[in-house]
Amino acid sequence: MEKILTIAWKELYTVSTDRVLLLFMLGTPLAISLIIGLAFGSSGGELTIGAISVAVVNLDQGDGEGNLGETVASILLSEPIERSNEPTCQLSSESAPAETRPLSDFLNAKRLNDPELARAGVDEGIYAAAVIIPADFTSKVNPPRDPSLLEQTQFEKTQVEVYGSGASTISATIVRSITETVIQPFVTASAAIRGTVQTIFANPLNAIKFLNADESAFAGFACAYNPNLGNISLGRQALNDVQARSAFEQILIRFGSAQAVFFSLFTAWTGVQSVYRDRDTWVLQRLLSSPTSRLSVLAGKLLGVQWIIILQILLLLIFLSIIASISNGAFTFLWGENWLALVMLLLSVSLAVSGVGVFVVGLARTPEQATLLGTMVNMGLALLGGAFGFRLGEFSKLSLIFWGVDGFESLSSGDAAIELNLLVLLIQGLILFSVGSWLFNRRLQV
Amino acid sequence: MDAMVETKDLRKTFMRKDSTPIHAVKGVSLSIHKGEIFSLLGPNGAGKTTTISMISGLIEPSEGDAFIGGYSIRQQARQAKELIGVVPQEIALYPELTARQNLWFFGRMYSLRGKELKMRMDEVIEFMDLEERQHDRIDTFSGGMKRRVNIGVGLLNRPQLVYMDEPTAGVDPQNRRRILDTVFRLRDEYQMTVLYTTHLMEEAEELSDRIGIIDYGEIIALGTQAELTERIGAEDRLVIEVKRPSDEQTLLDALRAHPQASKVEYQVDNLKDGDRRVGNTVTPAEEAVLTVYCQNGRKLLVEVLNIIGQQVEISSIEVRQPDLEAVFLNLTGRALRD
Ligand SMILES: Nc1ncnc2c1ncn2[C@@H]1O[C@H](COP(=O)(O)OP(=O)(O)OP(=O)(O)O)[C@@H](O)[C@H]1O
Ligand SMILES: [Mg+2]
Repeated sequence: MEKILTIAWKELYTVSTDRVLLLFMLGTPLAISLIIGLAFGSSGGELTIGAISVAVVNLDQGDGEGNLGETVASILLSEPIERSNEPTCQLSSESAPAETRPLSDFLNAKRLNDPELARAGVDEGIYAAAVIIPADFTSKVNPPRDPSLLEQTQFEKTQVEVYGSGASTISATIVRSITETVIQPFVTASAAIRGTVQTIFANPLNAIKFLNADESAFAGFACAYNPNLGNISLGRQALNDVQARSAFEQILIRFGSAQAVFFSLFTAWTGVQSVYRDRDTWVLQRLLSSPTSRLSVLAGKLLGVQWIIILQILLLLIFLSIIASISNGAFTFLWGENWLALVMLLLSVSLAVSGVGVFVVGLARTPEQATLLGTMVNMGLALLGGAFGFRLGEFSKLSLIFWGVDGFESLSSGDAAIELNLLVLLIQGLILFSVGSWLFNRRLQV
Repeated sequence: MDAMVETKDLRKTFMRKDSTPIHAVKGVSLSIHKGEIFSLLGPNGAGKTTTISMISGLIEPSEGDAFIGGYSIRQQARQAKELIGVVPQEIALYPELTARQNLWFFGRMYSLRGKELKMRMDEVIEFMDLEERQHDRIDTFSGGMKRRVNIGVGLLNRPQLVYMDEPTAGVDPQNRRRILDTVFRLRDEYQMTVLYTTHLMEEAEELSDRIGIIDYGEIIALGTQAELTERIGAEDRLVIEVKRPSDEQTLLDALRAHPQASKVEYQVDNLKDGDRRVGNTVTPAEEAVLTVYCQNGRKLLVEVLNIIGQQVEISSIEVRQPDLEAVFLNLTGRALRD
């Protein structure tokens, strides 16, 4: 084990002494992200990407007295809210606290009647997301008016669907955050009456947010909601998190993380391939003539490559944050606050990346073939996964770059639900790594 | 005498890409005594490196086995490898690391660490005379310096057997002298057994207690230099450098007529040494080398000089006893240097 660590350490040390290599590994991806960021993002400015196109479908039947679904839809559509027994309430930006902006700044919402049509629109890229309010929304959410019935009522979950497209994850995430924020008070209110908070929340984080929520920040909400049910305000944290990202930052996040993964792919196969150089200089043979097993020698090499990849991506994430901080004139960490999730994602991405590297070198018959194959595979993954600035719809899911970038984007928008990303990356990494190591071990002869 | 190395019918067959076999080593059985310098002498491609690669456990023999200090390299590879110090033919060092870092790294591979490792490193650095440059990167070293570090790494584990695969390749005469002296010191001061491979006859002659001549994967002769030359009954050679006489043919005929001269060679020698060439122009041949083969060179010398006579100007005369070159020539019909 000590020998494995020594070999791995030597690999890491070697890279650190090679300035040209470091420039390629770290400098180039940063430069590319920075140039793209400056070219397409208004540096430091607010979110300038136009309002997000959303389809809103309200299927809510109401409960005879009111239609909460309609209220939610109206808020999303920035329409005046009609209420039978109260004056019309205007959802206006004037009544909102200074730091919030009207929803119409963010959402370009359109009302549709057919949920299928809405989903198809998302698939075709007309909408970034579709919000579909189910028929039973009011009846499930609204508590019975008669307090005596309250005890017997089963509170069931109802689901508002936010249908997003893989092609515009950020937008879909924003829409989901907004929708959650809009719906939350209704759900919360029902819960408050029952005296229990957690049961209804799909996401316990929302409950925590609710408990810490500040004064009603969402313009129009107080008006939309029946004040008799209690003075419940609304957490707007999730929404603001997303809003706060400038276009420049968003490009740093999406494009920068894509470049980080893309360039680490080169590190992976060139690192593994360097065994052939060790063989040509007879260093490998010298190692194998010492009382060190072949397994240890190869394990040390692969471990070293793994360390290098982890460090490379980590440093790039940090440098991207530093660039964002400089541009904002204030400390800006791009990758969210969930450290555990970030570390997990970093490790899974690295494993998947090194898996590709080992696999490529193991598959190739000669070092020259490995170079060719490695370059082609990397370019292919980059093309699919969006490292060149565009994604190819569902096909992008074939690329580990997509899963990595998607994960980093989720984390940076405060969304910790990256289990699927981790799973895909880990499984892919483990399979490629084991098959690749096996092939590589068989292929390598001294 | 105790055997340090014992090989039993070692064979190695490589497969070419087109699946035709290369029989690189074809049944080598030899025994190397403790504390001797044993040379494997053979031309390029003879199978020297392949043989010691099997002895040192780097490559698996196709057949046969080797025993190092009694340990089978196939069954007890670890124990066997602990006893061996390895000096490969190539400069097997990390060019981006310093001499000291290389020593440290490979020392760790022999499970050395801490004070012990540091002590061994200092020892080797002193022994190989590397103090001044020990903190410099290998890729800034001259060829001779690299060779010395390459040898030094092989001595870190204080091996009982050190193999050196053509350690003087590409080294200037001065560094080469040092390396040869080092080999003697390893035997005489540290009682190490040295397995030395070379394609240079002179090195094998100077260094070796015993020599194995290898050709096309087979040991074709083995023993001390005296034993080897005796066995083939090789003749002495009278080598005479002369200014070319006008009547060459008469002279040669006269020499060849002598009953004790078994063979006479005559080589007009205008390109023998590099220094005869001036720029790109070759001076016309003025000198020649006469070689007379016979049983007793010293006795024949006077008679030969008489035949050559007064009118031929002689530049040098030498009586050469049979050497390994002659042995190789005798056994294979080829010159070692081909
Ligand atoms: N890995 C290998 N694959 C195929 N053929 C090999 C391999 N290693 C050696 N050979 C062949 O085996 C033969 C012996 O090679 P080897 O390196 O042992 O010779 P050598 O005596 O060390 O020569 P040199 O003086 O040039 O170092 C050569 O014909 C060589 O081409
Ligand atoms: Mg060789």
